[in-house]
Amino acid sequence: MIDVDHIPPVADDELLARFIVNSNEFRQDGTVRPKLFMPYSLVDLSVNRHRDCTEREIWDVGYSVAETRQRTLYGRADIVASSSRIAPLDVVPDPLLPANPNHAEITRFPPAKEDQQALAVKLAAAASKRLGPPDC
Amino acid sequence: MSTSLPTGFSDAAETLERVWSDEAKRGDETVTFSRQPLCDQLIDVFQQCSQPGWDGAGSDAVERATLEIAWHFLRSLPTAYRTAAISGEPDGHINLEWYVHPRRILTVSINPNGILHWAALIGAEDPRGSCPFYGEAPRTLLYWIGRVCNA
Repeated sequence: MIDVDHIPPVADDELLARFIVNSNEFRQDGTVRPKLFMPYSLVDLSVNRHRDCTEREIWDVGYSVAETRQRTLYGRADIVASSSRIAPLDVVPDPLLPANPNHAEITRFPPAKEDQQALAVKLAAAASKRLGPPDC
Repeated sequence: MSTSLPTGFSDAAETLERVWSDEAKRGDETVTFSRQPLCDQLIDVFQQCSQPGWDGAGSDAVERATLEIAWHFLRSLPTAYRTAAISGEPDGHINLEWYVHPRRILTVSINPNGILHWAALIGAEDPRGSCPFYGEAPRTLLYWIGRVCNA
């Protein structure tokens, strides 16, 4: 995990994970639906930075997210930070200390639903296919 | 061919059954098996999303009114376009998605007031908008659904 005393800005080439906790957030072919990247009533979207993380640590965060939301962890989709920085979006560190210094937010979603949808379809198109958790 | 849904479902089934029955009474005898999957999807969405908090704290229930609007909207589409994937959204909307591949997709979000929020990605084109549903499918949406489905 990232050193809690030195949390750097999110570099363009960093990989970010978005955890999948609903079965309707991905399709049978493994591609992810735009709704995975919708902030809805919020203007920020939680992601987790791969930086300085082992694969096990990435999944541990995913399981924690699912447990908090009382959902099933179906996997994750990864996206490169630069692909998330489509105007007006940005990616910024948002460490949840002490447990998760790798937490980040995709910020600046517009409030209008259709504008959020337009960004979400682009994020979904740029994201990886669903990666299943290790015990699946 | 029967125009009734199976009994024994939840309120969602009863709602759709009433809508379905009303249409049959108006002389619409065109209910076919091809629409059943959409009806099933809507019932599933309602069953899964009709309680507040269904998607974690703060998520809104999908209301019966939204279910009915979604059903009427789907019924207003040409048969060839009744191929959407249907799901609930944490803000209580119902989402319809027409998908060919990640860069040929249209997503429509229906709210309880009958407003359709939509966005598409077709190659480099990224149209979006919102419009009210008054019983007929908006021409703009028909155009973009066609662009996605008739690639």
